[in-house]
Formats: sequence, C-alpha cells, structure tokens
Amino acid sequence: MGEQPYALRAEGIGKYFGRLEALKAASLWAEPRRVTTLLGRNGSGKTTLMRVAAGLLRADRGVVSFMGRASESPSLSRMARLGLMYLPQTQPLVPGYRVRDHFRAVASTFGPAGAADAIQECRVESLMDQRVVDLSRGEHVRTSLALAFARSPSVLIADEPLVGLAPRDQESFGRLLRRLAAQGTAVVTSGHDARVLLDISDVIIWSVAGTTHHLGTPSEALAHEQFRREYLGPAFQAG
Amino acid sequence: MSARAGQTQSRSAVPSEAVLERWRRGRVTAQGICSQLLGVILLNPLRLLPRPFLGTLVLRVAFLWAFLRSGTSVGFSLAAPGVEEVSPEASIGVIGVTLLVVWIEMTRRSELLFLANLGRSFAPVAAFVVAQCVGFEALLRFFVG
Repeated sequence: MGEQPYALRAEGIGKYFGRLEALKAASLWAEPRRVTTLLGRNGSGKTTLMRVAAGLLRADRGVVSFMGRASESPSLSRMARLGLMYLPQTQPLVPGYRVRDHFRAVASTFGPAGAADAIQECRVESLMDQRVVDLSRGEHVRTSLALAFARSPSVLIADEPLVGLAPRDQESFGRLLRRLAAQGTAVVTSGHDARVLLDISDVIIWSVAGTTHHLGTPSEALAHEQFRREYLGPAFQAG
Repeated sequence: MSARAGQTQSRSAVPSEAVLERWRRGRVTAQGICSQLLGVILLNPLRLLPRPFLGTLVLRVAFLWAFLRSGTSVGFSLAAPGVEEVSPEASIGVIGVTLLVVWIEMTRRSELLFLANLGRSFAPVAAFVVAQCVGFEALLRFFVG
C-alpha cells in the first residue's frame, strides 16, 4: 500500500445550530506537504467546517476521515494522538501559563526533539518566561506556530491565524506555515487576507453559504471568474 | 526536522511485562504488587497531566471542594439544627458541582483545548477530580466524624 493521498478528509459535512443550517454539504481535504486554504466571507461556515474536521463539533451529516480512519464522531484528543493539531482563531494557548510551560507540556508528550529548533525558527527565545496573557497578537501566533514546529504534526488546522496581524507579520507567519508544510505536515488554514494566503497556498477551497468549491491551485483560483467577482472583488491584484 | 506524525509516547497504565512475567513464575512479592497498583492508581493520573496543569488542578479542586463542602455543612446545620453530619447524597452533590465548575473553568481558560491537542481527553481529569474529592471526604469523615 502506498502513502495516503489525504491525511484528513471531511466530506459532505452538514451542521445545524438549532434551526440555522451552518453547513449544507461542505468538504475539506488536506494533503501532506501542502497548504490548503479556505477562503470565504464571514458566516460562510469556514470555522464550523474546521471545528468539525478537528473533532470539536459533531456533524449532523457527513464523515471525517483522518489518516485513513473514518469516523462519524471524531474527537480532537483521539486524533491528536495520531498527529492532528488544531489552532483556533482565539486563545489557542492557556492565558495564565508561561510560554515555557506550553513547550514543556508538548515535550513531555511528544518528546523534546523538535523544541530547540522550533524556538529558534520562530524566534520565541525572549518570550519563554512571559505569561501568555501578556503576549501581543503577533507573539501569540508566533508561539502557537512554534509549538506546531516543536511537535511536527501530520495535520495542522489553523483557523484564521493571520487575522489582526500587521502585513509584514502576515508574510513572515505565512512563510512559517509554508516551511511547516515543507517538513511534511498537511496544513489547513483559513482567513480573509487573500493576497498572503494565495501566495503561500497550494490548494484553494472557496467557502460559500455552507458549501465549498474546490478551486485548485491559486492560479486556477485567480482564473475563476465567479470567485474573482464575488469574493476577491474588482480591485484585487495578486502579489 | 521531519514530521514525526505527532504520535504520543506510549505510557502504559498496566504493570510492566517484566513484572507480569515474574508474577507468572510465582516469584512476585506482595510488596511488588502493592507498589505496581499504587503506581497505576496514583502515578498514572499524574503522568496524564503535564506540569503546571496538574498543580493548578489540585489547588483548584481543593479550593472549590473546601468552599462547597463548608457551605453545605453550614446549610445543613442551619436547616436541621440537630443534625451535624452532611448526608452522603449531599457529599456526592458537592463532588458533582466541583467537577462541573472545574470543567467550565478549564474550558473557559482553553486548558481543555490545549490538553486535547496533546491527546488528553477530559475523562482522566474527571477521574482525578473525583478521586481527590472522595479522598478529602474520607479524610474529613475519618478525622471529624
């Protein structure tokens, strides 16, 4: 048997919140060594789809398959043992603890091998003794990505990691996601910073009103007339 | 630095193969069995939570349980002046409320999400909280009556 082409697949996902149908039939795939990006307007279902794929929400329809194992009720802790890591948009770290405590916890679980390289790679040496609550948004994201580097997950789902960052920081964090993918991780991300995200992605998925459209590579997405017109807008120019 | 598939280091809750082999051969001592059981019951839950999560949890549970238990005792003495002892049902209720508050607090502070990312679910945390509360309750009933 060859290598699994998809590390993570969430297919035909439907999700209701009360009477509101947040997802109709949305799908998401993550391939090793690739950055897959979900683009879409607020309320289009990006976060819900990512939370279902990460095992934090139970879907009403559809199946999530991780490393070849399909499940109708996946859980994050179970999938994390097999290599999944999920970074939510807000508060992926514990505010009251120091950055060092987070690295210790990761090292005690997954081994200390990658920690030193990750700390250097993401330039978090100076933050090690700071409490998470005292970090800026940029430092917060940098620390989260450093933890991802430290454990080298097989799949990283990062929900809108570039939101609230300065353009320069967006580019440098985008490069970090790219580097993580180069090490073998299947990266799934989302956001609204189309210029940076199109630049670092291999695959673009357009999320619209609870459904998803697989647009292919960024250049294929840019050539998609409807996507350009309805999401990017007429003023958009690729970087 | 290649992807290591992020798999957790294996930590078994059962006695080691060497101990089982000695037990099979009938050479295991009572002391050996006791230390293995103590390891499973006491040490394994400690390993399930990394520092400083464990320390925070122990303190949080101690604080909450003491607050709720003393509140229940005062409530019982006010409601029925002749009765000095809190009923077992009320003690179980205190443990349940402690567990609920711990779950809310750990969710609010993103601790459960961080632990889930480490492959650790709430179930062992809940078991640890209940064990700690039962221990406190037993000590209280033993010393105070």
